[in-house]
Amino acid sequence: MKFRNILGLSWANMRRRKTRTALTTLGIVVGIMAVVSIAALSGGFEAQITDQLMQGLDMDILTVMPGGGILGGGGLTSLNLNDTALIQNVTGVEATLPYSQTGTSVYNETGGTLDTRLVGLNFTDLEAVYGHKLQFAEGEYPGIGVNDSCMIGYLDDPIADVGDNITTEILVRVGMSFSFVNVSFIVSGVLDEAGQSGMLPLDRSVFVPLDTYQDLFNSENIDMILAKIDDPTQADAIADEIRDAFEDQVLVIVPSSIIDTVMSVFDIMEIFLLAIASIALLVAGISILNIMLVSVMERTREIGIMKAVGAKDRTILSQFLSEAVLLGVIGGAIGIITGWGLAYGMGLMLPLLFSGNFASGFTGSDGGGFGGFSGSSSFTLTPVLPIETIFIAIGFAILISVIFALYPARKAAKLDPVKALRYE
Amino acid sequence: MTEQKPVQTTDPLKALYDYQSHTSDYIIETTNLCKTYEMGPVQVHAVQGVNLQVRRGEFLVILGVSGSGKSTLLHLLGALDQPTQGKVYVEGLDLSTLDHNKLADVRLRRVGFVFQFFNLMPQLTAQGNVELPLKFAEVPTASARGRARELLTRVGLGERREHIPSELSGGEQQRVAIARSLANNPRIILADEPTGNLDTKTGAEIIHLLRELNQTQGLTFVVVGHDQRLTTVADRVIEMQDGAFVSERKGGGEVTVQ
Repeated sequence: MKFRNILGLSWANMRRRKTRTALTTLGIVVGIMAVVSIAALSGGFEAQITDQLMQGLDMDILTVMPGGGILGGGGLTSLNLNDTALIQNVTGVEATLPYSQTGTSVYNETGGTLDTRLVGLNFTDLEAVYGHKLQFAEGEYPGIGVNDSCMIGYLDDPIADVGDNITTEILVRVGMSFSFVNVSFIVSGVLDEAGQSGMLPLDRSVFVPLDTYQDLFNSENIDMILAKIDDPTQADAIADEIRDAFEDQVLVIVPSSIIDTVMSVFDIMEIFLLAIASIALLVAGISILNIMLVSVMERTREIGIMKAVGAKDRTILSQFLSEAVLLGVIGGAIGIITGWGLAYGMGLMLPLLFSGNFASGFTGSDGGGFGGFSGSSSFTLTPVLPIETIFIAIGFAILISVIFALYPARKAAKLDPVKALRYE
Repeated sequence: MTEQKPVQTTDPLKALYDYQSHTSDYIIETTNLCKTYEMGPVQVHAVQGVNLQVRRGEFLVILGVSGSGKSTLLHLLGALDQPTQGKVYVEGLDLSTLDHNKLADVRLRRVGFVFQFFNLMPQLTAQGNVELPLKFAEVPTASARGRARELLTRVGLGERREHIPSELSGGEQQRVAIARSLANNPRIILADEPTGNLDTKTGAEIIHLLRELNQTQGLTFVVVGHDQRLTTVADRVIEMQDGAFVSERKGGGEVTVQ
């Protein structure tokens, strides 16, 4: 019997018991809907996070930090300026930017205050690594050798203009005691908005010469060295060479690995959620098994008739399996559409629920973090449903339907025609 | 009535026939046919050592009370059931040599069944019911449609094609069943009490239709039942009792019944 004819007969059978067909389909719909909406939401979430990270991370800048060592033990406890040369020597490294930073408060002459970070670095290094991002709103870099000037990163409401004095209060350790010291700088330049810039936030920071910074804190140490590389696709290889140069005593952070790490966390979460959602599909499968067994019993006589007029076992088998396939296709299709709708609706709702704490959790405004994400007010979640997921969902719906229909279908196919014909 | 040529599709049994090249005067033959059922500890001998020869074009009626084994015999002749012992030859083909699929092919192409309770598919129209065996035989859709229409017209249901069984009278349903049995152009029709569930007048019409098909198409009929009117059209009448033949006589051989 031709496949088309089998399908036609299946369709007739399903139409005959519309309510039952609808209810059986509903099981598949709910299962697929759950799976698809979770997949679409987490897909959207991943896309969102990746997008934000990509914006926030410069893919051509590696970060070298003290630490590392075998199994996380040991490793350097600090870096100093001499380490820059080791990194500079690695092929593929174009420029290096060693810097130190600390969180602090800054006051202007009229008593205005700003919580910010004080960054010590060499301005020639800064220009070499971030020059393409830097635009002066006014003024220029502090001159070389000038140790009482500073540069201010972009602020919505500038705290000082070129020529103004700003004062910062820093905690300094002398021997065993700590003391607050007020230091003043003349503003030599104010930057335009640079946007997100990976490890080192350019906006809202106050930059002073590295020498000055090290003198202030009485330390030769530097916190991090940024390395600008010529080919981002070679980032991992270059990072390995840097590690080798330091005998594995440093941490080298590759921007893409940050994304990978974050994504792997999301993947684990997604798999976990999908596993839970799959239980709904399993339940749907069992209900198909149940309904099909009832259906085989009810249709025993019809199966007998079909066999009496010449149907082969495999015709009966494919008859029932094709009904399962139809259930899977219809349930899967409706499930995908409703799942998408659900994901879309939740995508609109979720940001409302989380706008307060979720987005700000990622917006590290001080010191560390990944340079902060864009403002929480613009946070929306658009579900992402790749075409593969749609096919996988449909395939899964069909697979579940067919697997659970196999036993009833076989049972139907093996019925003895004489007994089946006598069945009341 | 325009006579449409039966649609021929590849008959998987043909090769077997050619191979066996069995030539026999008898279209159906059985040797020492037995069928025993196990009903718990009790053995029921439904058919006991039946030797039967049916000639081509014969209208054979097997009479017997209910439980005499006549239905079981019919099922054995039509490859619907397998004997415990003995053999059935259909058009020379030894059914005991055939596997499940080949037996299904025998039912599909070599014999047609007509039942007391019509046994139509309730969800299909008259047309759909007649098309069913044609679809099993993979006859192209257009041909199957034409063939089913022609068969329904031949049994007098040309106008009722699109009705489902529950919308048809008993007589009409039996006509659909007869049309269905003819679908793949078998040479043998096996009928199990075809008038058993019909009123007198309708029953007579059905008997008349069967006899007419026998006369005009040269189809061989084996009809089991206890309707005495069957004997008036039969060429031969066999009486069955407790699974065995007890008497055999010439039938009325009439072409029409009252």
